[in-house]
Amino acid sequence: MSKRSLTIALFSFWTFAAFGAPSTEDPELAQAKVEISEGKLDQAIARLESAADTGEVHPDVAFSRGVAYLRRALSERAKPGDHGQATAGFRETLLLRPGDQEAALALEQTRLAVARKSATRGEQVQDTLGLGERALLWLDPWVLFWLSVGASALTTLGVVLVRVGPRSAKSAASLLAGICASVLLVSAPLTWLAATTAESLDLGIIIAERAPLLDEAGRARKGVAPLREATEVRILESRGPLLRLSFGEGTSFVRADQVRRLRLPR
Amino acid sequence: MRTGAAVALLAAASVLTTFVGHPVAHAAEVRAETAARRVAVGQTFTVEVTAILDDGDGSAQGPKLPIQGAAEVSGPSIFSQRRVVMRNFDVTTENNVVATYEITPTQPGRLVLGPGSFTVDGRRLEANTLTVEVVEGPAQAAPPGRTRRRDPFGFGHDPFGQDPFGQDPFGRQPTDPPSQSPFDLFRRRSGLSAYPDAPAELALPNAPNDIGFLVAKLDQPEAVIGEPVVLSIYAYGARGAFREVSPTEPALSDFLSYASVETSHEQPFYRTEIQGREFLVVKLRELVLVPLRAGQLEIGSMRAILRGRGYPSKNSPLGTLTESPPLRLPVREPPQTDRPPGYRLGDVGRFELAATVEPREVEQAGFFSVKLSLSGRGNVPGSIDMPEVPGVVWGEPTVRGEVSVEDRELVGSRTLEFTVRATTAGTIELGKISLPHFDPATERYRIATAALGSIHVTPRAGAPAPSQDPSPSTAQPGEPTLLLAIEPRTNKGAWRAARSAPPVWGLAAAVLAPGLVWLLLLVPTALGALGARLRSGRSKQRHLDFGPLIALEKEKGRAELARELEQIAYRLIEEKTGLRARAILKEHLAARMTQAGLLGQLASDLQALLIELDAARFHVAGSTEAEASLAERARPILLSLWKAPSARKDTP
Repeated sequence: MSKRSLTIALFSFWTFAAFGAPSTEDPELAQAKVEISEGKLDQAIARLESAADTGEVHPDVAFSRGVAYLRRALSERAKPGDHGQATAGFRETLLLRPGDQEAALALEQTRLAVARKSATRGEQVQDTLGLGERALLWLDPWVLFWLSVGASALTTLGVVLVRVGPRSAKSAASLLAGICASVLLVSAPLTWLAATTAESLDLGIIIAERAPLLDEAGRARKGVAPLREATEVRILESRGPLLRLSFGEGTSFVRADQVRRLRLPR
Repeated sequence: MRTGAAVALLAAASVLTTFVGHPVAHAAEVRAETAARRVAVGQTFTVEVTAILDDGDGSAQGPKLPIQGAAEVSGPSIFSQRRVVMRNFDVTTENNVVATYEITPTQPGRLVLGPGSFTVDGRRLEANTLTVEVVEGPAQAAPPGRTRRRDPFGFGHDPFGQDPFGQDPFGRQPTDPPSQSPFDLFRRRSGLSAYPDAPAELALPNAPNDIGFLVAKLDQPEAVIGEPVVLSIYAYGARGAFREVSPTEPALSDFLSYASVETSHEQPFYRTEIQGREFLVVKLRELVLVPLRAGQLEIGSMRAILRGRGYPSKNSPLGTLTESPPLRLPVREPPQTDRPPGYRLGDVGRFELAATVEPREVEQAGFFSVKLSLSGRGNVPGSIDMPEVPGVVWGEPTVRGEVSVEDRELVGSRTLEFTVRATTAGTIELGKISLPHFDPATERYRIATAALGSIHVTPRAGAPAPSQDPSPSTAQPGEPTLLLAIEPRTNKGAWRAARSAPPVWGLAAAVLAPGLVWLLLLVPTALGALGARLRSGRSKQRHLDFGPLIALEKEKGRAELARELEQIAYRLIEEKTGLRARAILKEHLAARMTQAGLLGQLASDLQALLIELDAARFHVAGSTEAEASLAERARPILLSLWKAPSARKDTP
């Protein structure tokens, strides 16, 4: 068995173990796939957007929507914002199912395509999310939680052995308790931070080719480059037709119709 | 001579006929007028910019009055009047559009007003420039707004104008609203009964203010996204006629807004009675609003100053400031049930769709036109999703047409013209166009459709054969094929639907567990120490009973007695002084105990006793008498120590 096959097998096992039983075919998704393969991309997009409009939140629906937009972005009928919409679909999939490797690959490739397109125009895709926020979003709070629980259990065992164990085991027990306590001290705050970040962050993707940064009154800010398509942004609040974004150390506004908010179950 | 005179008479008659008999061509003109020439700082005066239009002229729009100098400007308030004018024995009608500005200088100096201007038939016509001198000093009564009131009958002078004695024959004050007809004055004089009664929907159970107030109303309590609702704002005034001044429009950030009434100047006044008090009511604004999102959408307050003779300067020097309360409109999405695929939020109304395609036969790679006509009531969309058709490429549409308000309803039409390129030869079925929309009247979805039919595309010489692949999705040159290899999914895989955070109590338990266990393990040790301490406390010498000691001496000998006495002595010393006397050399013991607070004699006796006991423990000497005397000797000293007050300090 090659290393790749082993990885896939392990990943499949992990997916099965983590997310339960295998799924059955969904008629709407199947129909959307047929439409995509026939080139009826608008119909497929309408179908998948309709599902989103009904309030359905599902990683596979979001993924298929991303694929439909991506296909249209690469076709002759591309519309401005298709790359951004595709990015939003894949990003939503990853937020809903952090271990989805295919979505991670699709997201990366779509962003590369946007970056390539921007680079040919001499523009640069900015990143408005901080490194910390990005890292915390990447972490799975539940994995960290179980890591904390395990470290806590081992620390407790070490403590018990230090106090009541045989003299010969006390050194090893001290070492075990020390290492596990260190892990616990790191993983527990990270768990809390990752959970609160995932709960409180309101994320969106720019779906216009350029989204000019505006001031509170909706006037374009001079001397500030617009946000490029597919940029991930953190939304602080909605003010009528504008959204206030966290932008580096400050905040800025963009038009709400230029941002697709990522839908996450709260 | 007679002939010459006749010729001269004819010439004169001809000239007279030319200039008198025919009407003189009268072009549109703009005038600016003010009575103020010298005003004080803070004294408000008015400037009127009037566009005088003949019957043949178009409408006058966009009044402007540039001002040089420090002043606050409000307005313009615009009204129009129609007059009959007699010029050179020719009677014509004239339309005047008057823009009134109220100007309050803020610094002494000179104000240059104008040139005021209007746009008439696409041309901007300018008036003369006015100059007003502003001086320091208390504000005086405002000068009249106009130097010359226009007469309603076109005689060039107002017969009801200022009388020769400088008084208005009707006592009208300069700040009165401008009369729109001479009968208005009589109507005001005769009280509010001259106004028609207000419709029932304008009746109010109570008045929030005795002088004047604004009321905003919506024609429906809730709406769906894209459904037009009508916002009406009325002004109520109890002090006679008024006009709105310095209005602030309501904030409508979550709506598209279409105005059907933009100002109250041409709206009729009605009379209504609220709690036995008569009010005049007039509609200030009527707006058709289209909500853009779901939620509790806020409609901001409108503010306006009610200006009139009976309206006191309340919160504003110009009159009574009034404000409508803000409103909230619950807006929801149209129902999810039966929502057709392709429905776009906001497409609400009742629309009809028609389409024309021409020509029906084109050469391969040629172009043809598809024109869509969309009309109906409601928020008519400006775009339509076109069908996927292999073999054609749709261009961006040219959109014409607009939406307007008719009888409090949005109506309109749009024409979308697409230029379409036929890329493959053969007969291409264009299919049909659908516009799913929600009809709020029936609370159901409708689909407006228009069939496009088919076109015949003739092959072009040298063109490649038609592709069998129906997919119009082809990768651009240079695009990574990896992106096209990503396939959509057909299964809805399991996932953690509730992205719930780990329980905080679980995390807290994980953090606290090792510490708690550590503490639990410390408990036995701590309990042992506590027990020892308790035992130690319990063993305090409550009394000294020498009977057992004497018995002990007899049973176990002198050394044992000495040991026991020594323990009693040390315990009492520690109890009384806190000194651990065992660790102190016997020679220094008296001094330390004295330092610790014991009486010097007692300390010396104790030192001597302990030395003696020490010796007795290790040296077997003396007689039974002497042994008996050890207990007797120790007794008074230990009793004295036992009775001595405690000199124990906090630190041993």
